[in-house]
Amino acid sequence: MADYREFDFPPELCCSPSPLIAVAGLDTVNNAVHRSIWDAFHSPVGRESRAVLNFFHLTSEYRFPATSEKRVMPYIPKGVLKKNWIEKHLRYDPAVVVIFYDCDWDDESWTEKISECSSRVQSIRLSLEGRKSRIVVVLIQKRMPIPTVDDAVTNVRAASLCEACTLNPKALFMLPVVDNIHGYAIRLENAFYDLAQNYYQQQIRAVKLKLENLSKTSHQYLIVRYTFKIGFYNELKQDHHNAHKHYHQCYMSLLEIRTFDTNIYEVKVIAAYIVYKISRLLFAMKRARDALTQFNSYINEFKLKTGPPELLFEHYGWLSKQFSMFASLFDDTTAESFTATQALNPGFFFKEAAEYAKKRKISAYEICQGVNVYPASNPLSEWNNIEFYGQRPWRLMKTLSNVDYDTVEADGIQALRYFENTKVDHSKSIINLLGNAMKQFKNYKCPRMRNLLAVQMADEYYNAKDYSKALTLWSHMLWDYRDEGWIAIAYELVNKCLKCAYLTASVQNYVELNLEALKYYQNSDLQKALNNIGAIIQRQIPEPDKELSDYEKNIATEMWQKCDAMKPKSILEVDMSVTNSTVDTKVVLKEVSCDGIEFDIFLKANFPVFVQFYKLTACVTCIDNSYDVEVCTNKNELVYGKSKTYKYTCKFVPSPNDVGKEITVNSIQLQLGNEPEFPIVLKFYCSTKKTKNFEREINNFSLSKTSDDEYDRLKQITSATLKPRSSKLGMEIKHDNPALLLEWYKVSVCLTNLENQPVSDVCLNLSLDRSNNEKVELTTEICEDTNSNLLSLPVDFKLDRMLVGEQKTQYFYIRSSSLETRCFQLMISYMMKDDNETMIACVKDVEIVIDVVVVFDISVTYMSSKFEPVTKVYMGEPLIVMPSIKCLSPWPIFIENTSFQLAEHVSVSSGGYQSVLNEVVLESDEVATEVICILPSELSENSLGRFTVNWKRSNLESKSNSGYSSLELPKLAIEKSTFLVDMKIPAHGWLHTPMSVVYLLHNNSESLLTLDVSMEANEAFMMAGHKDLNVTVLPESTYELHYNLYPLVVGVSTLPKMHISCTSEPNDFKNILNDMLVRSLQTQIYIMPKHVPTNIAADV
Amino acid sequence: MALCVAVVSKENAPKYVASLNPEDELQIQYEIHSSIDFVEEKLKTGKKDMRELYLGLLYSTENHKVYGYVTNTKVKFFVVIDSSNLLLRDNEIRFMFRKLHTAYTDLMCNPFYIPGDYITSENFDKVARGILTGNS
Repeated sequence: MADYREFDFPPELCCSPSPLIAVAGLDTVNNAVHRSIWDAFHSPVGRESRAVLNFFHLTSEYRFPATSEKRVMPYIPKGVLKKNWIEKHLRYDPAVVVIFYDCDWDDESWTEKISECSSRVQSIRLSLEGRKSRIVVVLIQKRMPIPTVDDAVTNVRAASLCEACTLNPKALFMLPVVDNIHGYAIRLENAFYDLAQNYYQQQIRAVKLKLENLSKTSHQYLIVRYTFKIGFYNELKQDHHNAHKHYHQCYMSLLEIRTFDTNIYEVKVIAAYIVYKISRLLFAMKRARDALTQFNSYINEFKLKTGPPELLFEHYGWLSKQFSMFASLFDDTTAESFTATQALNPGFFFKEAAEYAKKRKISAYEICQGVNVYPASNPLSEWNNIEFYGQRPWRLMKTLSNVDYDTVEADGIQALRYFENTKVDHSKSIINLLGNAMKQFKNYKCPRMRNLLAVQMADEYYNAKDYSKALTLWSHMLWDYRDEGWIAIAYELVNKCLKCAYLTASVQNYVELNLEALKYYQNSDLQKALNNIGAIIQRQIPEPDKELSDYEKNIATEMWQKCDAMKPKSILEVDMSVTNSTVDTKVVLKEVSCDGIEFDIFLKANFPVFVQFYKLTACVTCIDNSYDVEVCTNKNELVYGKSKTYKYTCKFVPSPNDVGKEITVNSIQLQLGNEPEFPIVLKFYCSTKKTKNFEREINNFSLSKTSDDEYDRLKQITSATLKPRSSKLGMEIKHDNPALLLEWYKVSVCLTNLENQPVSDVCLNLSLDRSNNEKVELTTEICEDTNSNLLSLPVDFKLDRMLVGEQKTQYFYIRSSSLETRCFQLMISYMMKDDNETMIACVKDVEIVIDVVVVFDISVTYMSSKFEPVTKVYMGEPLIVMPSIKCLSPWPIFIENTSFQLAEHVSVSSGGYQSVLNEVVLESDEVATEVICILPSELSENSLGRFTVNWKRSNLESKSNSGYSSLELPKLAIEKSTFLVDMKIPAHGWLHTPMSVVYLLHNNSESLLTLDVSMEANEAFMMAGHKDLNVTVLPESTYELHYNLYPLVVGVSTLPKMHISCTSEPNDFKNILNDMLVRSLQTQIYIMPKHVPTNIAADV
Repeated sequence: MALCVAVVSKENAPKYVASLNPEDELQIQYEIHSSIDFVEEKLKTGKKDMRELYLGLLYSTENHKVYGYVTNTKVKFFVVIDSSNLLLRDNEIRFMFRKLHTAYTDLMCNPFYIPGDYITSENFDKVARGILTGNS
């Protein structure tokens, strides 16, 4: 009886079956080769794609299980399913027997080997006793290479071997011993698998044959048994689909069996097993939904088959087991495939299992109470030797002895009830199931469902008298429900927790919970809670809850008396961050400075009667320092009654060491009761955010501004940085904003010591605020003196000591190469002695804002020698470059000099260059123009050079460093011309005074140019020279044409027009010629009136 | 008809609970509270039709069935009915919720009601009680 186990799923049922292969002739202990073969069959490599087989060693001692006696079919069996049948096929009845044998094809003693092998085969065949198991011989080949199939000798030898062993030639295999036999092992496995399939198919056929002879009315048990067998064989065959089909048939035929009190248990057990198999297969086939449907219909079918009422608990136990088994299956199989959802997950089944476990407990309590005697006949003794699943052990006895049937039955039931009453730990199983369900709901993100289950679990712990666990669980749940505002539930949980805390005599918890309870209790209960807290303070035993039984009260009272927790300790600290009571505090820091830290404590209390507190203290912490501040010790100010907010202000002086560190009001302690009693300290941690405080949705709509509202609206300020003492140093910063682009901008900082002590370690720290633009630092340069090295930001300028009244000035220069506005932070820090002769640090912060503007707007125009704008220039032709400089600076600018840095292919024309703008001062918006004539000498697309202006502010002293503006000259196309024309003419002429004009024709090409030149005369001049001329210009040479002109009119006169045409060159040259004449030749000249004769001679 | 009617604020705190049998109320509150999980999940996954406020059956135990409804401001209504009551169809439950929602809207229109407070309105209570008794 002792080891009687109630209904359970046997392990052979829960495993997934696979074909059984017996292996003979492998000595894995002594023979390394054999060992490697065995290991190859079990290696995990490529397991997914390999056939699943179950190997076992067939030793010579092995005895196959006895075959069942041959009966005349059909017969009436004593039960549905034999207990040993499944295991027999899983473990003992192989589908294939594999005989390994060491034998090479070309072995010298071949004949002896054959006879030895055949005798082995025969002996095994004998021991099989007519089983249909397939026999296979595998020859282990030690010699290489393996003979091919065509080899005549091998064919003959193979045939002879098969004949000797009466073996199908297809059942003979070779296994060469090579380094890697993995591939061979897989091939062998597949062959075994095929044979096993074959074997199981044959078994199925045999069972089906038997099934055909049965009638539905009289052989229901056998029909169920045989269909189950077919299903199981199919499962062994790994044929899930057919297995499911037959199990389902089996289940349907089981439902047709009429049930009585005598067989109901057996039917339920078998049904459970079949449904387990079906569910398992459906899950494996990824048909989770079908599995759920099947399970639900099954439960609905069997839920009402309660069996005999005196064994009702057994039915609930059975149902509970069904749910928990199904839930585990669900969980196992859906773990990877995610078919479960929040609304449908294994947790629900575990929960249901727990529900039934609870029902079982209740019914067990009702039915089995008082059954404390185990029947003398020992009805459960044979429980393990029953032949069939789900049968009662005592029925077995009935057949043995001639005892009255009813007595035996009654004894059996009594035994079960005794077992239920004394040996079953209901709470444990309920808690386990709830635990499983909680895990599932946690996984599927149902926190509240989990809470509900946790509460139920705690209930069970409480029932099992494990009060401390119940207390822990309940109190955690209490916080969750309370925080979401479910007052009714929280109220219930507080009551439950209080009971537990009382029963465990846990002073700490008891006080905490009583404080919490103040929030929910009313009238007498509330008064009682207060009294109980008072009792604790007075080191007395609190009054127990009235719902507790006398027995419990006595035990608890003893515990309270023994409880020495309150004796050695002088105070009891209660962490109010986890307790939500009718007292609450808030802190607002008002001032944090070296002179003192001042803060307000707001305390909201609501007690039905006046409650006297004794002390209000605050704990203020810095990183490594803490201050305990007594805020109020006046008893009269610490009496709290109905809902009101009280305000206390407190101030203290911090240590100078804490300057620059963060000051935090860590906690506020409110002490209830005073020494030498047992004071309770309510400790409010300010930093931890308490329970979610739901803000009123529309706060401003509230009807009256009660003190509650004000309190709720208060925003806590619990921490602040303790600033250093503010500096009294005088500081003057001088600079002329805005700065100009690329100038060295001077900033001066003038410090005056206005403190009444000398200061030391004065340091100016200059840093650039990069918050707006990260790159601004790259375009900013700083130096202390324009001749010294550049400094990198941030810069420290050390000024060392300053006596009282002393003045020091620090200069620095900033050069900006971009136009962003720069914000510099200038921090002055220094040390000085305070009144107590301790060194203290002082700082002062200033911001310097510097805008940057452009100095000049420079634009460049290109002109021909005739001062006409050009877009291209010919090589060798003079070009005039005219930069015009517009002053944009708000300050007058002094131009030191201007310069051109010409490119290599450009040279200054013969006249040279002289800057005309040197030492010119430009006011704002004034424009100055520079000019230079250049000669491009090479073909190039590149820029012609740079133009640079060196300048400085006109008001600066001469030695200061200048800024510069530089402009890349715009690009201009330089082209090559084969022909250039030029003329030499005086700047003006005199009336009636001849003047000489020379035309120069340049041939820049390497060929001869033959030109027709004609001059078109006009009325303004009389002309002497060739009118029509055919000239030949040699390569790289110049031809000169001389004319004398005699002006006839005064004023601007048109010169005679020259026409040139070319005979030797192609047509488009003509265009170039004309273009050249137009741009190079002057067309007009100014003729002055008649001149004094003395000068005429000089002109001519 | 219904066993319990409850209004739960958008922060999931109960704002109104009325039940037919006071002795069941605590158990039903537990069940409603755990049903919030499923409402939250449904809200998170997003409803296809914003106009469909009815959430259907959320949770059923042996004794109770919990139905849910959520307004566009995330205020949740719950109706709990007896599992053995097979007379009530989906349509009737919907009708209950609609009535409840109308009553709630009326309540919100009342300038003396501060949104977020526990509902103490007599009118609302009358409607809710009507749903409980089934003669409204």
